[in-house]
Amino acid sequence: MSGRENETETHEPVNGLDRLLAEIEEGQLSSIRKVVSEVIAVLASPGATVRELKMIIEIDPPLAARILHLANSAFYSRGRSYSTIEDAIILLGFEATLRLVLSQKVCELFTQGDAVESYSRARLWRHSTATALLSRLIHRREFGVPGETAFACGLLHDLGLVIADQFRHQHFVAALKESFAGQRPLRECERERIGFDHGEVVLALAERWTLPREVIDCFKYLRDPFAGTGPHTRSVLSLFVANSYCRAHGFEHGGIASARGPSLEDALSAIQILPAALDRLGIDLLEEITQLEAKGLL
Amino acid sequence: MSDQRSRESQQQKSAALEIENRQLRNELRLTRAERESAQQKYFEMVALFEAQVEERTRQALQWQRLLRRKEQEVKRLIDFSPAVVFYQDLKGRFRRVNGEFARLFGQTPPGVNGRTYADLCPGHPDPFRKGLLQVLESGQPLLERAVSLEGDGGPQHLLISRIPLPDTRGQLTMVIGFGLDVTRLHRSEEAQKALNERLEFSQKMEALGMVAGHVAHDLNNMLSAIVCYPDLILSQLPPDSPCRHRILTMQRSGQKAAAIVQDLLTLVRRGVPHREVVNLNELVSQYFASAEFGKLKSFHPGIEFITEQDPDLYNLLGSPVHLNSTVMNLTSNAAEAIPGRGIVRLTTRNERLDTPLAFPEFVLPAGSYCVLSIQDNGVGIAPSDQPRIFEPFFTKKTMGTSGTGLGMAVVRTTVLDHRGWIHLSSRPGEGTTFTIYLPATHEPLPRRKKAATLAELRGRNESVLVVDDSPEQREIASDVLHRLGYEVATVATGEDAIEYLRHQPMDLLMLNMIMDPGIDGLETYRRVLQFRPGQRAIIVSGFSETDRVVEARRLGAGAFLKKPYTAERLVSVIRSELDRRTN
Repeated sequence: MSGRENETETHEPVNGLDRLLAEIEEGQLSSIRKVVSEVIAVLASPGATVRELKMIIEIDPPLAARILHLANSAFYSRGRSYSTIEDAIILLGFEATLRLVLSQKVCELFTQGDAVESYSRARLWRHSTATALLSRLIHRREFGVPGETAFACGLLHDLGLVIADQFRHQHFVAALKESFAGQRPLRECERERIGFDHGEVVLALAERWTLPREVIDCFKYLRDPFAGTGPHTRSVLSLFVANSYCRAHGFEHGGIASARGPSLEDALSAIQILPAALDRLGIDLLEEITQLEAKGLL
Repeated sequence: MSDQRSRESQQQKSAALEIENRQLRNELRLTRAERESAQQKYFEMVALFEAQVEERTRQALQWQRLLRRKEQEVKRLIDFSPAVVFYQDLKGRFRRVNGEFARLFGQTPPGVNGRTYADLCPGHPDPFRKGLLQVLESGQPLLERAVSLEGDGGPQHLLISRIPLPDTRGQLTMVIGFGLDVTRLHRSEEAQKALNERLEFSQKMEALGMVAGHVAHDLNNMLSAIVCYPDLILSQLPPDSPCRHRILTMQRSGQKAAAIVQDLLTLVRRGVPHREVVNLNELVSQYFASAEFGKLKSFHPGIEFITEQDPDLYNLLGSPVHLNSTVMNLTSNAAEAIPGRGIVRLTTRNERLDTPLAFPEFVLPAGSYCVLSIQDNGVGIAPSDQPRIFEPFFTKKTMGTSGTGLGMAVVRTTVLDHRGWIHLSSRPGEGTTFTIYLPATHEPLPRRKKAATLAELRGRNESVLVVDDSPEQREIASDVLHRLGYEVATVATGEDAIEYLRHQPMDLLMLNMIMDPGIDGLETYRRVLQFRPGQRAIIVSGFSETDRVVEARRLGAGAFLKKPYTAERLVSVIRSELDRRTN
């Protein structure tokens, strides 16, 4: 059932995050919940096995078909034919397959919807992908850790916008226009129109889907990274840095205004990354984005 | 200034390189770790594949074993099945057969596999072809009522169920047949059919017997006048009278009619034949000397009739009349079976059977037998007709002398009544032999008296009481006896006879056996004996000699006189009885 069908026509703020979450359970998002939850769990687990990944893919026939289609594409296959999921995982690589699965599944949500001024879901998807890649690069290159969870956080951090657009479309569009017109932070407009903002939505969803604590913390403190003092502060700050950098370097999600938060420099300093090092990662990000575009994945 | 800028630039480049180095080192370390992880995962996956392959191999082996067991099971089922099993391909070749099927052709399975019916039985129509084509055309199973095969032991009958067997691509390439040998059942059904036919025949005979029984008595009474009066008339006519021939013809016609009645009675076993010691040689010789045989010879001038008689031939107990009729019928049939020239041979011989002699339908007990063979080299009898030629009214060809279609049936009945057996052996185009076995007796032949003339048979004032419910019979008997010098009185019932005898003794009673109304001849005689012991009597009947006749003779009655009788026969019997007592 589409979220738009349940939407009221009034401009009164609609409260009730729980109600929205209940609607999500019945809608299109429920179909990706299992895959996303399981892929993120595997990403976060260093001991995950090929069998686990294979089972995630096999129980979702459209996803299995897309993975096999990708494995048999001209870019990967090099003339050979791959007919099983095991073959595809060997070809694409374990972690890469995981990322592809996650991207493919989340991407389903970003392919619909109309543009509102400079905002569109397509641009949002490009922004999310870039943030995910950069966040992963920061972890790998600067912290020397795999950064797969960081990738997932980057991919999902703006999922709240898509949900608000999907389930509270009119109010979201109104909030969006109001934000553009008055150069007011979108979150404020959303809270006025809908009763909650997209940051609260994605956080509630992550908690509802019992995603790893690191992911929940990232969503919780993304707008105020210095508020969190837990074990995942570095991850939160990395996501903040990646998000800010991408918005400032051509991967913005449509010029949506945000409330003034900490500066990029303060965040970089807090995680002990030199601006030059970030610039260097920015170059590699561009390269990866180019490759994804070449593979038809973006 | 420029040096400073250059230094700063160098420092920036150096810092950038340092950053890049550090980032690449991190990447390299992670990549190595990931490569190791990938390697581990690769091995893990290989192990997974190997486990899957192992599992599938195990399953395949399991299936293979299962298939082999099933194959053995099917093979055993087929090989040891009491039913016939065969696989036939599109061209009718037997692709797989079991022992039971191969046995039908006197082969083993390898001798049948790969061959067609035409290969196995060249020149025979293929009984499997029609069913095979039907299943191939329809693709549906088929149950065939019966397929007949020519086997060594005669035709074999199979009940066959056919099932289409498609190959792995669904193409119909083979038909499986399961068959049951129902030859026994078939034969049993045939036997049942024959039994039913015999039952039907028996019922027909019973009905015929009832009719014959009802009419025979009256008919014989009526014929008595025709058969009896000519003798009286002839005795009164001059020897050159032109009427003599006509009267004799009339008498012969009456006698033939009486013979037909006798045939019917014999056939339906309404009478027990009179038994006396006879010799077949005498009967054959008498027949060869008879006017009937002369007539037969004149009709068949191209036929040579030969008798070969064993001079030491045993006697037998039998009915001369019936046995004579048998010889006559068979000789006549033999002659009729020869279209032009040929030979009819009558042979008599003795045969001592130490063990029972088995024929297809009958087992002759051990003992001594007189054997009579009548052989011809005529057209023979078709095998399909052979089982039916003894049936009454079988009209494939003219048989018997009576012209009623009863001749051969009467012959068979006569032989059976004598506790004998008749065996037929015939081949179309080569001829026929009938062989009759009749139980022999050691009793000697009675001395034959010279036939007396009517004058010698005249009465000597003896009195005869004729007891008969038929006015005509009373009149005929009274007339004949009176004319020949006997004193005759007549009564219509047994009761009247008793009453009459109470007041008037008579020398002889001529007692009709069956009378209506009132008591019969036996009962009359019993009562008469109570007050006139030793009363002489003869018994007269339109039937053959019955148990009641035998009983009457046991009580003291003399000869049995069968109606219709000639005048000569009547007075001969009466004279004989009177003289026997006198002597």
